[in-house]
Amino acid sequence: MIEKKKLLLAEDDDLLASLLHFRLEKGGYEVQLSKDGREVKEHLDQQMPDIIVSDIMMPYFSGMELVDYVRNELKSSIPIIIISSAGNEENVLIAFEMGANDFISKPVSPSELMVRVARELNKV
Amino acid sequence: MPIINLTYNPLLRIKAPKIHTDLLWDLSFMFICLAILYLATVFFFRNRMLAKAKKVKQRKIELSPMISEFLFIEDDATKVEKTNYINLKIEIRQLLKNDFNRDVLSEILLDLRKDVAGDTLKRLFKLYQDLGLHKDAYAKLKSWRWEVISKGILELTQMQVTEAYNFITKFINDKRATIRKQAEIALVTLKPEGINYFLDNTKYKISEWQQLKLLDVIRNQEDYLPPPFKAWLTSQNRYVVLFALRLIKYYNQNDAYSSLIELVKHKNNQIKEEAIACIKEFNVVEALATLKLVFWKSNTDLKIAILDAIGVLGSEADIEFLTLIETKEANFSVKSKALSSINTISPECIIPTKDIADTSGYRIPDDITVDVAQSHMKAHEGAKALEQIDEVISTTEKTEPEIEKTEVIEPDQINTNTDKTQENVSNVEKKAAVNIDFLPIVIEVLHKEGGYRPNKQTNRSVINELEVVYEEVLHTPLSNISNMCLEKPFNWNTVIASTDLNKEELAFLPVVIDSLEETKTTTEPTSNNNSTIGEINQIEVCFDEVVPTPPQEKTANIAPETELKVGKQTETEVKGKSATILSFIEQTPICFDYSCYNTPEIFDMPIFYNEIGTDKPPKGQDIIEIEVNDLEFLLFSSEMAKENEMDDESTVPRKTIQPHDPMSPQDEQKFKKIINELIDFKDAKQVDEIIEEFQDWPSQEFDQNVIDIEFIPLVSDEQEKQDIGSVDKSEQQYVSAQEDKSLKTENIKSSSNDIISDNNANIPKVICPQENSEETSIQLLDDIEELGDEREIPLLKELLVNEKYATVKERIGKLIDKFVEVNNPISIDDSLKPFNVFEDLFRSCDTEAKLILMDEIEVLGDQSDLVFLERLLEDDHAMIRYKASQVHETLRIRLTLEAEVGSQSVANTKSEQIEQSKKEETPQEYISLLRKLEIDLSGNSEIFNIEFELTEDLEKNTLASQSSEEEEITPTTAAKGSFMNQLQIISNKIINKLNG
Repeated sequence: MIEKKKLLLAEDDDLLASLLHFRLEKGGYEVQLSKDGREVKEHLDQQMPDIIVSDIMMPYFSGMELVDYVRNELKSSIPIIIISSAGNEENVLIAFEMGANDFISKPVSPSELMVRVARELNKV
Repeated sequence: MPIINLTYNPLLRIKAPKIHTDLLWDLSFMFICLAILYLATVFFFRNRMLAKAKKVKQRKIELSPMISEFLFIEDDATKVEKTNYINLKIEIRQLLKNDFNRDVLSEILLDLRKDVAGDTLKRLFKLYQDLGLHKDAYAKLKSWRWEVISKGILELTQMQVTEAYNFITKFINDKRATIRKQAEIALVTLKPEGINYFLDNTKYKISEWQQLKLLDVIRNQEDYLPPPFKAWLTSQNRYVVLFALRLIKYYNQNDAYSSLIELVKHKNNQIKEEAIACIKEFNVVEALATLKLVFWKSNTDLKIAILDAIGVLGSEADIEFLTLIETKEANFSVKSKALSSINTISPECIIPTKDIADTSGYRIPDDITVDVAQSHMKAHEGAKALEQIDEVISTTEKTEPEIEKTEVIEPDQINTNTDKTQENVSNVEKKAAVNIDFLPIVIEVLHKEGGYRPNKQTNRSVINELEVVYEEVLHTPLSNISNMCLEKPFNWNTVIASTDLNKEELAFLPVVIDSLEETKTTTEPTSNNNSTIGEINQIEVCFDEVVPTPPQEKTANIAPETELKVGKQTETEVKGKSATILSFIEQTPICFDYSCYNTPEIFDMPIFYNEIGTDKPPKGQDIIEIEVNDLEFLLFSSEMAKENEMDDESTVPRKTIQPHDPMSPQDEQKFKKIINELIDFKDAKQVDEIIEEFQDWPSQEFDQNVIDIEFIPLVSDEQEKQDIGSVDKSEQQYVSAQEDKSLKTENIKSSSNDIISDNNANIPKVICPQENSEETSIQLLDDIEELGDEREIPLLKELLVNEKYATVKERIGKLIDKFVEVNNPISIDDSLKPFNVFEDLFRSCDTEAKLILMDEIEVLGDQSDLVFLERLLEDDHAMIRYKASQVHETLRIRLTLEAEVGSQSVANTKSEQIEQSKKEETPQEYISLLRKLEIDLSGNSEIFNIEFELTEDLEKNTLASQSSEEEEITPTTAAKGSFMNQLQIISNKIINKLNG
């Protein structure tokens, strides 16, 4: 049996989180859902996922801080995809500089996200 | 003198009103109460709102996975997923009965709309309508509250319910601004022609913000083709005109010059201003006169706008007008704009004069070198000279050619020696140009058509005196190639020959696979130098073909053709090439022409049948050997024949099996002998009996009990149809396949009966009833019913025509109906049927899901579901039929009760009925329920004094159920049905009595 890839989804919007969680699980990933930065940190400390999909704007711990934490403190090179709001290009650029691998802007197309996740995992 | 004591003047004293202390206390108490009440109310509503918000949030969390499931269901979902989906659909239908849930679902979908895009968004829109939430939005449109209507319009807009367009149009001129604005956005969003309707019909003001929003909606529409907005320049609503002007400018619709010029004269300054902006944008030079005309009657802002437009559109002829304004206009801003416009038309025409210091009295310090001082002086002189030229030009245009005649100085010809100062202007310019050689070479200036107007004044500038120098880029061999490609048809031979490329240099290139024909044309004999070219051209398109291995005879036929093909290829393509090329081609897989296989020749392949034995047996022995060999060859040959038919029916020659001749006396003797040899009979009488039996068989009636043969139609449909045509002649041909002895016996029978005709005996023929008796017909129909499908319908129809027995005809009719239904289960009057969600689900679910679904129908169903359940009573599946009958009865009772009893009593009875019906799994339980009810009935004397007798309808139903051929329905089911009817009647009677 093929082991499912672990995906950490960090999204504070319940509805969107639920929707993406469902879609990603349906797509064959083992999804861990975190509603805020603290939960993300807890998850990361417990187990490192294969890929992280994170919103930029999150309570306690923003997406950029998450990228910084993963790259500089955890010294991990796992792929990170950032979800940003439209017109938030500056933050996206900063996230890229910090080491994010890809970004997708809201409104999110779940199918597009699936493709991007698969692509990043294939790169690895 | 009396002293006036003002301080204590009683008139000046203000007396406090005499209010009773109790009243004061009462008032205080009242205000305290009011304050408490107010605070309590505030807290109450706040808490209520918070509680509701919490509840909504909680419900959203519960419902969102359900929505996700709906959004991401796919056609290729697994059985489990589909079952879940059906359950969810049922569950959501139940939820939708609650208004709160409907609101929450709407909110969820509206929230998700902001977050999702792409295909999911489309599904979201569809789901919104599928769930019927748009009907709630329609209902909101009927509200008297503006916020509710506005919310309804917003929902319909966001969920792209285009059907709502017509409903929303009536709000376009609503007196409530919020509704109106929402309707405007909705119209423009829902349909591309919405903007037309809006501009045509709106009577109210369109605010600036609204215009921006509308524009935003329009420009974000996919494939939006803007209408010609000039059509609305004549609108009676000046806001429409204004918005149209802005749209014209935005979409560059520059085909309304006359209207624009006319609108400059509009009374409304905003329109005037917008028209001027359009004129400026589209370079409407014809509007200059009008602009000058309206200038004097305009306000300052407009004057500035007009001057700005004149500056852009005007020529030197307009400078006079501008100068006049500069002198006559009192307003500082207008004056400044006039000067600015003059300078725009004629740059550097007006030089700054104010606060410019006089430099004539300046002394040069001694330590500064003469060169620097001189250059400075020269520059100063140059500027003066320029001023002189400007003056001359401003007075007369004739000076311009003179300026243009100024000697052109090439950068490399410019003398850097500045010592030789000259007094004329050209020399000054030369010197000024000395220090400009660091500037990049101007290659080209593209003149836009109509857009760019070279300014005549600019050539006075020193920098513009520079010659435009084109830098030539050296031609590379590659550019040669491209040139050659352009000049003449592409030829690799010439290209590569001219570029002297060797093999190594070409190694990086991708291999070009040329078509066969082109290769032929380009592979003409070339010189040795072109060997590399030849190699490129040698590359062929090679197809790997999996060649089917035909039988040996056919291989012999194909092989020469293959060789010929290769031979041709070699001759045509390899001609003139070196030996290495030949070897290259030889090594490549052979390219076959597919067309050679697509010919009837391929079907000439003989069909091989397994022959039984190699030595020809004696005549009489044939039959026995066929028996012993178990007729395997028949199956084989029929399969082969079928395969060949699939390929090409017409071209396949069939090897026919010669039928056996009737037994002659000689053969009979031989046959006796063989039997005696094979079986050691006690006496010859037994042998005679056997032979007699053989010969009597044709006249004997076919005994199905003895020879139990399954008729398997192995012949093709085509053949079958032909056979059907000759049913009455008993020439139907079927292949009987039987593995055991019965088949052997049957075969002997069939051969001895001489049923098989001589010409059509490629396969064993069908054993068809000789006599068209009722029993045999029924037997045949039994077989057809058991084994047949919808393909038997033509045969059955044929039989129906020829059948003389009424019972058989009836049976045939039922069979046809059955096959028709099986073929098209729920297709009758599909277009006329009302939409039924369960029926829709039924089409795509399995039996288990159907049973689950029926449980849900029992609880949730309505009148339309009854019709659907009635259809299910004729379903093929016994369980579904049984369940359908159960559910149908329960539902019918429930609906009857609902229709007749008041809401309260309905609710009680319904819940009871539903609970009971849920518990009822078997007819026995129904009986027990009835018994239970009977006990209860006995307790109530008058109300429940009901006559228990079967009505005519019930009797009919019972009879019908008994006579039906559905084997699975047990007698208890029918009994249960009648009991349910009785229940219904009881309840009806109770209700009638209660209602008096």
